[in-house]
Amino acid sequence: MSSESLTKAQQVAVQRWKLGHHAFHIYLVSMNDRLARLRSVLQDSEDWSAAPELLRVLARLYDASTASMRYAADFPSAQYDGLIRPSMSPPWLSAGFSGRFNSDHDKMLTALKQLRSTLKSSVRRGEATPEVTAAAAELWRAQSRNRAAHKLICEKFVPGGRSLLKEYFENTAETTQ
Amino acid sequence: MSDNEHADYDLIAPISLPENGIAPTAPGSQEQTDDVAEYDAYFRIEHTEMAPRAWAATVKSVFKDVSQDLPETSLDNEEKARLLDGMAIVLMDSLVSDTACEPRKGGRVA
Repeated sequence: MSSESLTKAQQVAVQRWKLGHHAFHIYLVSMNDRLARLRSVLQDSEDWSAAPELLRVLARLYDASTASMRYAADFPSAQYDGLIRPSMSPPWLSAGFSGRFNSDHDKMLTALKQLRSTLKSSVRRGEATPEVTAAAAELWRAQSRNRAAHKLICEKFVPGGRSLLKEYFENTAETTQ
Repeated sequence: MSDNEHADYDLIAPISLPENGIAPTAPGSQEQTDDVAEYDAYFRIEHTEMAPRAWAATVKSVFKDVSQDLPETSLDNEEKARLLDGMAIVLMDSLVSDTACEPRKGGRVA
């Protein structure tokens, strides 16, 4: 199927949706690398001097990933309804397709959760310096901004929040009752 | 007899549970693997072993296309700045890795 069959507006929607996700994944992979380095510093070393800068750069990458999500969704909701959403549904894809199947994002969230736990323990033991605590707070703020932005994007394209995955679960529940 | 054994009246045998509180499973069910594979295929992503040079080429290609399109978008200046800031971080990382892998020529850093 060639792009010549699409209008210019449709081409822009497809390009931004997929290219935006490519950028998103690049930021995620970069975050995962830094999260692994940070885990090494915090768990295997007594010298935490590298930790604040790693945390600050992670916050910047998280904000960049949020901006890439905005870029990926920068097209009218009519294009999402008419072209993008159907392309993620049967017969093209399995029912219930979801961003939750993003393995790089899953790795990042898991590593971030472990990091939060490690830092909480170190704060309780009085081991985390003020610089580490402040840098970590910047990272958690970046995560909050990301979640808020994601909610807005979902609301833009799916007012009322009926994602493909939710739709699939609801339909499956109805047919099994 | 310990206090616990006394309270159980020998009726209860102790059990072990995973230390991390998560039931051990095979690393990813087939359904999960299929979902991830479908996600990757839809977004034209291939997870594979990558040399630093190939990673640098991927990063440059994606960021070139995004940055060329950026002026046409409705992203505000702060959003654009954050996107570009992230690009600078990743591009610098990829440049450092790529340069570190290049063979030295006549004592100069390649």
